[in-house]
Amino acid sequence: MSVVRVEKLNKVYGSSENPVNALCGIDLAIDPGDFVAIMGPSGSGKSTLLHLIGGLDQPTSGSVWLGDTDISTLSDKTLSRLRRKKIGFIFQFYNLLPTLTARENVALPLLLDRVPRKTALERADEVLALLGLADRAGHRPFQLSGGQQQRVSIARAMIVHPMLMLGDEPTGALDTRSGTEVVELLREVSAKGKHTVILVTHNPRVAAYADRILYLKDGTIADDERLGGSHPSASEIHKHLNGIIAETERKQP
Amino acid sequence: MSVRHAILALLYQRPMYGYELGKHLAPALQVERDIKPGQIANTLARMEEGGLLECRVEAGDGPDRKVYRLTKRGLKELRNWYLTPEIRDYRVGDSFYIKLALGLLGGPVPVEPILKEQRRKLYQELHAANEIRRKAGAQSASPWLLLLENAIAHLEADLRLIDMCEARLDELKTYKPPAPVSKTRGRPRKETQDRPGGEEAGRSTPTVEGESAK
Repeated sequence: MSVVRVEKLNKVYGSSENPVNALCGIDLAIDPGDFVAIMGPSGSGKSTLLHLIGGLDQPTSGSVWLGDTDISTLSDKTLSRLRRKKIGFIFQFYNLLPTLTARENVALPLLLDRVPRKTALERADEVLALLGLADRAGHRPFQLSGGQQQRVSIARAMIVHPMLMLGDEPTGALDTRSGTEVVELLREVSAKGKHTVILVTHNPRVAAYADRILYLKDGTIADDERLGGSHPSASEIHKHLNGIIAETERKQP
Repeated sequence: MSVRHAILALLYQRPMYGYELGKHLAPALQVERDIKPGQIANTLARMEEGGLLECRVEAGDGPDRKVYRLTKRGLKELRNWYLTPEIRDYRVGDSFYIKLALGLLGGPVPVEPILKEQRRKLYQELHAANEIRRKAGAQSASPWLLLLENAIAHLEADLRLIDMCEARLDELKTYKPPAPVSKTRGRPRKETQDRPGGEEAGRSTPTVEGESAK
């Protein structure tokens, strides 16, 4: 079964005299464990689509299914509970609480769910260690680099074992190197934990890590492309760079 | 590929004889095929003639061998080479550019799917490159990794260019190429030859700026 299923999704902003059609009849299904990048020019509807999938906004018409739940019919209260338990969000500017330590920030979704503080903090430490941030657990956000803050926010997203992780320009505020580290981490997290990840990004390098790229244009899906696997033609790059391949393979007997 | 500078760079490390240089050249230049001994011998001879290298004949176990070392001049040349920036060749002959420019004139295929197919292909390549990079690991010390980074950066730039083309497509489609310029053949006409600098003027007469664009 698809993790996410979107049917005839429409979103109109603005007044009835001046309607802005942000999304026009989107149909989409996303498989479990897929790593998906949503791309497209500004104003093409990428963020709107992500927000609707994450239940942060209500569609004008159409439906969004998370597993077997149609979230477009839920009450605000049920929806926010579902968001907290089933979806991990990663934002461009991390959205960490500045007065809390990294450990407390990561534990927050559990604390809000009334998990005992001790258990929640232990779980937070485990996830931080998994992401190579054990030595940063006691730091507050301002004591961390941008890349580290984003990794903490990935830990926070992971802690509830979400069925879906959503990222809105998660590398948008980072330099190339930290951005690459963050997306490689997400990729690894997605592969190891069988997490389904959907990212909105402007950055082609980041998008190319995905298994699938959705290209939005004027509120519709203009292209939907699967990367890797079925395309042996991508081996051209291997041909050019066979030295690296040889070396990599030598290192991994 | 600059065999000459590779030779200078290797000899900067230590003096070597010809056969040794030959063995080290391919890995230093990071090419797979061997460079022909004849080519190396020729280059060495020319470089010695030019005063970049000096050579001493040494008796060894086998036949005598010529050991090459850098001269002051060679060292200077090597320094200059290192400090001279390399400019990439942005050719108008770029195959995708040609396809796009011709496609914009109007053809059996609209420009949109041309961009779409190009983008798909570039993403496949970038995905493959990312995978290689991920597997190699950030810790790999190999200079090869820089070549991979170079490929990734260029693929990224190519993809950004596709996005830009798409965003500007409506404008691009309004472009009308200038009418072909007709060149005068044979001898320039007499009156232009009489004026000072007549030949230059004669050549440019038929291509008055603006007129051909109308």
